[in-house]
Amino acid sequence: MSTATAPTSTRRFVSLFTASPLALVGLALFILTAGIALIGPMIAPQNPYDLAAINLLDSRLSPGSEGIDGNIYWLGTDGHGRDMTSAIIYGLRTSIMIGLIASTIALVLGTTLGLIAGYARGWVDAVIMRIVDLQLSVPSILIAIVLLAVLGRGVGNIILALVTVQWVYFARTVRSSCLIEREKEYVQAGVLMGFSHARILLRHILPNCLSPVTVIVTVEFAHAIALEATLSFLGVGLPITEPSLGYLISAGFSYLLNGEYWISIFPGLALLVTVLSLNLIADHLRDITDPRLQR
Amino acid sequence: MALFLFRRLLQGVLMILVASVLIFVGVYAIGDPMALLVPPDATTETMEAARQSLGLDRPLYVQYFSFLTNALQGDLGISFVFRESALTVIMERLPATLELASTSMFLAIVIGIPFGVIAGMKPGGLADRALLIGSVLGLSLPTFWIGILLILFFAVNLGILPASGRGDTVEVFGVALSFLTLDGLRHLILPAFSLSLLPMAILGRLTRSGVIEAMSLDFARFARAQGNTRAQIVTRYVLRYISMPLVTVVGIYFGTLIAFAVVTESVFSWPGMGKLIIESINQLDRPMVVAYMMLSIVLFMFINLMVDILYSLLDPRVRLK
Amino acid sequence: MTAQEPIVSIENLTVEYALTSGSFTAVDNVTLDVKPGEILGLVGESGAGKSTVGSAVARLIDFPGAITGGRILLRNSGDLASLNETQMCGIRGSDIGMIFQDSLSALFPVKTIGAQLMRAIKLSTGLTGSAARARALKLLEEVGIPQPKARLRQYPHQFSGGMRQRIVIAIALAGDPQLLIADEPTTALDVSIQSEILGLLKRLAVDHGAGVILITHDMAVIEEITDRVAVMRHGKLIEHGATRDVLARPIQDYTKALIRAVPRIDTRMERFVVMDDAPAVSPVTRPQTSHIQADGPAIDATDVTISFMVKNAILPRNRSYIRAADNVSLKVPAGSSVGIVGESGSGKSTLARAVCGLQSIDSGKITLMGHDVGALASDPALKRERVKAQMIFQDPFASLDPRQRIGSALIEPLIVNKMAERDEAQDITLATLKRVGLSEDDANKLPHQFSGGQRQRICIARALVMDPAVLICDEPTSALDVSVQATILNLLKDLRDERNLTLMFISHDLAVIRQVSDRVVVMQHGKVCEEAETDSLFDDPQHEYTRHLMKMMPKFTSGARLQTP
Repeated sequence: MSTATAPTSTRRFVSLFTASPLALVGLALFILTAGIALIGPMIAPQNPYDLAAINLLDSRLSPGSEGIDGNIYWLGTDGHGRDMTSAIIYGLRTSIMIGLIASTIALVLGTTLGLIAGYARGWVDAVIMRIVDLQLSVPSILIAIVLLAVLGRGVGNIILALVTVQWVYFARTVRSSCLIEREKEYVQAGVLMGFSHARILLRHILPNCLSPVTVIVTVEFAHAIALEATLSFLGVGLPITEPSLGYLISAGFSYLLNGEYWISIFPGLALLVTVLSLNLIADHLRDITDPRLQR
Repeated sequence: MALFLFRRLLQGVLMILVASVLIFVGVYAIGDPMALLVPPDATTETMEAARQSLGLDRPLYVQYFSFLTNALQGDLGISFVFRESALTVIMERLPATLELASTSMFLAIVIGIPFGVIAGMKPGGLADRALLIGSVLGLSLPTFWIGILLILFFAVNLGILPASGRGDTVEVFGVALSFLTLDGLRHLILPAFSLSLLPMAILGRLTRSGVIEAMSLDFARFARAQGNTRAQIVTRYVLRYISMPLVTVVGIYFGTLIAFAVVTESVFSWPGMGKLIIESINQLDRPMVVAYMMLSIVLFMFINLMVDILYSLLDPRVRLK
Repeated sequence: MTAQEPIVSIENLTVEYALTSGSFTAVDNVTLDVKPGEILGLVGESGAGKSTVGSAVARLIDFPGAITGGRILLRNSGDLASLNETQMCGIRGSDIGMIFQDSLSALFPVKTIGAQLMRAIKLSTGLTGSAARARALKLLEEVGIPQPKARLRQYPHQFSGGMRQRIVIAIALAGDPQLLIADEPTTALDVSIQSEILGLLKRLAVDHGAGVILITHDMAVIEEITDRVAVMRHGKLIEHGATRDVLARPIQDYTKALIRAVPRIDTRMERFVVMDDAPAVSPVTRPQTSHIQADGPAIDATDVTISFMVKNAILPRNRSYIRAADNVSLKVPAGSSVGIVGESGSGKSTLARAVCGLQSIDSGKITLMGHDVGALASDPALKRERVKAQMIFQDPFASLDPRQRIGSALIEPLIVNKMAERDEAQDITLATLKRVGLSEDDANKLPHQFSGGQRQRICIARALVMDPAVLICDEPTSALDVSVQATILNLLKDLRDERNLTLMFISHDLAVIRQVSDRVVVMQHGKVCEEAETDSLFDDPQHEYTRHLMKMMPKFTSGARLQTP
């Protein structure tokens, strides 16, 4: 062994991550969309919630048209005369926020339950895993639709529905990693050295279970955004007062057969870029955290 | 093997029971039961009469028990909108959904798996890179939006394919099928293709990584040492080996396709049970929701059982246990 | 051997692997040949390149590896290195048969062995149908599979390990090849089956007039069946010649060290003579507490019974259990070392885990330095006593938290148990690392930067910082190369003397046990068969099972003649 200091796992991770051009494209696209969503109100030409700013006479203008007040609608307007650029920026904001909140809650909940199931084993594990199995045997979109059919539309309800379908993926992954890790001899060595269960679980087992979780959280973030859009498109997701990308696409769908494509297509493009950027990142994360799939 | 299948069947029945409890509690107990069982335009007197005749004053477990006995007799309630048995209404729409889902799965299998094999045989090659980029798109494209794009391009701009409906059907054993007529096929192709992208991407990726992994295993090396060519190893060993996980994934995604048909049917106005359920939710027709959920779960358990049977036929290690 | 034409002549073979940082030479300019009916042993430690030579001869080196130099001349086929893949498919199976280490993964799990055997026969001989079937039956008979007709319809998982390896050999023989390449063919098997398979290989080589390249890490296997031996290290051929000559009169220092490092069952050595490039042992740097106890034994187990449920059922009477320890009693005086030996499933590891409290016991009593083990685990007042028993595990790769730096891993237990302040803990850690032969710089490294032997040293250091009285070693060297094993065993012996440790050493290897133990306990199916002073047990075994074990052990005695360098 040379005297060179150990490369930190963070530095190794960064150098592995930047090795893939596709992943960097994904990261750049995500920073772009998330940035637009973050500073949205500052850059949007119009506040689409502000009825005073909207002119009904400008409805269904094609991209690049000039409005009555002489302003240019670069992405056109919708059926109510709303500027599509602004609507998309606000919609993106809503979609990303809901996706982020839902996947974060699912991450914390699922990781905690997975860790408990894997470490405690016995009946605690059996109960948690039977719930996971039951849920995994039914497609997630179906669970979400039925939950929302019972609870009704709303921001809180859709987050609840998303968390309900997503926590199982975290729980299943963390549990199986935890089951493997807890049998490893460093855990037994920890017991012999007088470490408490909490120390072993949180300081030693948890960090070693997290690399697959980074992949799942990215995938589920993308999945949450896509699922929310789908539910809102179907009319069971967000209320009309919170127009997300899914609702915009659905609203534009009725104009599609007249050839007024932009009301549906541009919000869809924004949705695609967001979801795609996350999936590109997730793909590469999977490659560098799962040695079996490494090329 | 019989014991194994019997155990899985038992598990499935247990799952259905648990799901029925959840659905019952969710729909009947949390929501206002009266809103579910009596049309919204009913008067106060009829509501009171209904409450007593339906036994809603009885304890919850008694109510669940009668729900279950009715369900076992095929009675999942009367639709408010159609004024007939909810199950009957759904069963009428089931073949259209199954046809759509099967066609999509067929497309996903015949395109995704060969592509995955070609990509997996030469990791890092042109086909491999095309598959990785294509599949990440397939995973990211929202099903409903790709449907809209297809309508815009093929129906609105080119005008060569219809945008909605099912077209002419042919009755086979009393079941209406679209894919046997040219008009039906023209109606089927766009929704089926838009629905097939997700399983196509998944199957392509899974096949690719399965081929790469299997090619590195000892049995592939040993087969090479016996004089098999690489092509022979793929066709005789690797495909057979990865068929086992693929069967599982095809089964799981067939269920997902039936669920996702909700979206595609809404976009293409395909007259299946998915479109029906969204209409029912919007019309607050809750017996339909319950019937749809119960039917779906029974369907998924049936698919799971089929997968188990197929898997045990494919894998002697399971069969001969 | 007369001046027969060799079956294969390897001339100046070089195999390189392209890496992101330059290239790695796995095989460096190796020249060898194999004559008909001859078994050539290729021996070396992990990373020596011996398996790569075997793969290269069959042209099974895949990207990023490649044969970058030399020729492989196969009798009647010319230079294999110049053939293309299609031509090689005609050679493999027909002229070269290969046998792999793990028969379960080499055989295709979802086809019957009949189908696999007949496929190999069709590929190499063109026979199909009943002719292929007849040949398959004959091959199975030849390799000693009883009832071959019925067996043809069975799947690989329905056979035992030894039977499966026979089937692999039958498949390798399908085309009656002139060259057999066997890569660690008996490493995955129990000792008793190992000798049968080796005997079979030897007989087949003679019967078929085939040449055999036998790749192994095991000197005893080399001594038992090879005619000639080639010793490899770091990709180079170090020494080669007739097996008897090389083992009796090795020329190279490495070969001598390799031979001497093999533990011997026939005598006890004070220390192994190790290669000079092994880390030097520095003198004691930390004053240690002495653990001179009042008379009582350090470990005292009385009538210990431990059972595991192997089949769960709702009704208790349908459950079935296996007894991992059945009324075991054991006394280990403080400062002495006891070796526990037995085959897999004998319960020796379970007993070790029970002694340090990692495994609960069903009945009986275990005391450790006078305290009940159950009380040690649960009573907070005894926390400082509990950590006086430490364990070294078999797998050095799983024994360290992969995300924790070595220094932190050694400091953490000192801080958690309030045995030292941070500064002092730092000093103890560095001193202990030095003591086990590592450097201070190593404290900043992560586990993946170390080799298996170094990791095992780290594990020993981690146990030492707790200032243990009892050290339990569960197969601590069975995952290591034999020369590394020698250095670890030396270290453990030194530490025991320095610190007056009570040592409990678990191993399946009688020879290793002999080197480290004062007393030996032989276990089988959870029961103690025999317990005796080490020398008397080895010189005069009383129990039937002990004698059986000693008979089956491969005996490597060549080292005896080399004891005085």
